Amino acid sequence: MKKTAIFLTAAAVFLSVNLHAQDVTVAEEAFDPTAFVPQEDKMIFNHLALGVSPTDFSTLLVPVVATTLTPYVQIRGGLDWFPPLKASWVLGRFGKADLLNIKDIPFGGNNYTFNLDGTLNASDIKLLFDIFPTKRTSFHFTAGFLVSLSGGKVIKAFTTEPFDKDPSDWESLGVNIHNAQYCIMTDKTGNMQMSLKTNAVKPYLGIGFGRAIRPDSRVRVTFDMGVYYSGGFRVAFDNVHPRTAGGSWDMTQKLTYSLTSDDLTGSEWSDTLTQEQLDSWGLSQFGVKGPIKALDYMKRVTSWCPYLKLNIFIKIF
Amino acid sequence: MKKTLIMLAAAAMILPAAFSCKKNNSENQPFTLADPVNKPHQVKVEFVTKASSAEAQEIKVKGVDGRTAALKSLELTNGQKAIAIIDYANREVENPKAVKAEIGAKVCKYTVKAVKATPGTTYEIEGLGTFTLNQTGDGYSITAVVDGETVTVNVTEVKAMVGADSDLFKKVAREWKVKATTINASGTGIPAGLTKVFNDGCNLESIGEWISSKIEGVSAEKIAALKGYNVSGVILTESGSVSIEFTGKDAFAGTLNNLDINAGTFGYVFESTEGNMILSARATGIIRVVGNKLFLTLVGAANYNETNNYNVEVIFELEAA
Repeated sequence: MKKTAIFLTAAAVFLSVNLHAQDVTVAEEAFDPTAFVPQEDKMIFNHLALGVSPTDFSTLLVPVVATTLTPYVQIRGGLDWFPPLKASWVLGRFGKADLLNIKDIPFGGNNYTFNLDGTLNASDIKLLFDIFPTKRTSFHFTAGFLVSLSGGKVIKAFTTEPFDKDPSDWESLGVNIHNAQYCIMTDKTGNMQMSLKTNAVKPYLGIGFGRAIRPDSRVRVTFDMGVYYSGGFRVAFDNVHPRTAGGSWDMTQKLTYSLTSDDLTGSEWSDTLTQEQLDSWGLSQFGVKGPIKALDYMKRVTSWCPYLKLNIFIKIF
Repeated sequence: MKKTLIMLAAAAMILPAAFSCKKNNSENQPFTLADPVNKPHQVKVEFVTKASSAEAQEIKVKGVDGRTAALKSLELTNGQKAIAIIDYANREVENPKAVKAEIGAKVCKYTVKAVKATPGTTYEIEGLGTFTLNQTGDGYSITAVVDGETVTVNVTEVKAMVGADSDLFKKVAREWKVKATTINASGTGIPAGLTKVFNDGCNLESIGEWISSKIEGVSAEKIAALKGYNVSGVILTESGSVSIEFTGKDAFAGTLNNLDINAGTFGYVFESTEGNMILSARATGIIRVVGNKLFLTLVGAANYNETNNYNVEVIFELEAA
C-alpha cells in the first residue's frame, strides 16, 4: 500500500513536470511572410574582385582590385607597371649642334661635354571610377587619376662627370636661370641632377567595356580606352635654390625647377630647332615643322597621353 | 568586416597627390638683435679743408698704404671704431677743382668711451693720434696731435644721425662680419649666369683666383692687385656711412643715398681710392635687412680682358659681429 502511494505520488509529480515542458515545446512559431524574399544588394563595398593586368612592354602581370559602390559605379585600383630601364647618353648643345652628338660645350674657355646616366621609371598606381549608364550594361565611362611612383620624374638623370673639376666648387658653384631668380647648384659630387618630368598626379578620362564585378559571375574581363593629362614632359633640374630677399641664394630650400624655352631665350643654350635639323632627324615626316622651340613643343604634344588597358578579374565575394 | 577591409585597402592606395615645399620663414622675421653693449651716440665731424678756405689748416694723417693727406672727416662709431676719410686729392696744383677726388678710408680703434661727443673730451685713435673736441663761439673745432704736431681745425659740420625716426636704421648701425660671399657673373662668353658661393667670409684674392680659373683673359696683374683685400668687417653708422674694412688695405667707404625703411633696404654710393676687378671704386651698393641678417650687394662692371666684358655682382651675407 505504501509502495503504491509513493509510486502514484512520483508519477503525478513526473507527469506534471513533463506536461508543463510539453506545453513549452509545442508552442506555435509566428509566420514571417518576408523570410523567403531576397534582400536588395545595396552594393556599397559589398563585393571585392582581384585581378591581373598585363604591363606595357613586358610579359609581367600586375595586380588590380575592384569593388562596388553602387549598381552604377564601381571602383578599380592597381598598378600600371613599366619596367625600369637604365640608359646613358650624351647631351650636346641645342641650336648650334646636333642634340645627341658628342660636342664640346664652350664655357669660359673650358670645354665641357655632358655625359648623362639615367633611369626610366614610368610606373603609376591608379584609382578609377567606372560609371555605368544602366544597372546591366557593360559599357561605362571612367574617371580617375594615376599617381606616379617616382613623383612625376619619368627619367632621372645625372651628369657622370663633375660640372667643374675643382672639388672646392662642389655644392657652391651653380648656374643662374629664370632671370637669375633661381640657381641650379652642383651637388656634393660636383654633378648636376635633372629629370624628364610630368605631373605627379594625372587625371584620367575614358570609356570601357566590361564590369569588373557582376554578382552572378565569377570571372570578368574589362577593357579601358582613354586619355590622361600628364601636364607635358619637361626637363627639370634638382638642387635648385631660390633667390632670397637679400639677393643671395637660399641654401635651405631645394626645389625642382622645370626649364622652359623662355629660360633659354637669348642665351647660347637656345632650344630652337631649324627645319634642317628636323629633317635630319626624320621628324618632318611626322608633320613637325620648324623652326620650333623644343622644350615648349615637347611639353605641348605630350600633355595628353593615350591609355589602353586589359584587365581580368576574379570575384572574391 | 568586408567593408572595413575594402575601405582600408582603398585608403592605402591613395597616395599624397601634391608635393609642397615648406618655405623658409626667416625672410619674414623682424629684426630682433639687441643693441650693442654700451652703445654711445655716434658722431661724425667734417673738417674745413684748404680747398674751401685758404686760411684753414689741415690735419695730415697717414693712410694704410703710408700716403699722407688731409683728414676729411672723422666718424666715431659705437663699436669703438673711428672711420677716418682721407682726401688723397693733390691740392697743390693750379686748378684744384680739376683734380679727380681720391678718397681713402681708414678704420681705427679708439679707446675713450663717450656717451656723446662732449667738448673737452679727448679721443685716442689708434694709428692716427689724439683728438679733442672744442666748442667755439657758434661751432666746434678739433685739436689734433698727430705725429707730435698739434693742429686745430674748424669743424664744418657735426652730424648726429640720419634717419633719426627709423628704429631699424638705428638698430642696424653696428659692426658686422661677413658670413658668406656670393659672386654672380654674367656677360659674353658665359652661356648662363654663373654663381659661386664662398662660405668662409670674403677674401678677394681667393675670389679673383677662382674667377681667373673660369674666365679667359684675366691678367696676373689684376689678381696680384687683390692681395691684402681680406674683408674683416663692415660698419654701418647712424650718420649714414658704410665702411668695408680690409685687413691690409684702405677701407671702402660709402654714404647713404637712399633709405627705404618699409622695404628694409638702404642704398649707398661708394667712393674709394682704388677699385679692383671685383669691387669697383665707385660701386653702388644696396643693403637689405632680412631677419637678423644683412645682405650687402655691390654691383660694378669690370673689363677683365679685351674681348669679353663681364659683370660681377658681389653679395655679402652679414651677421652681427
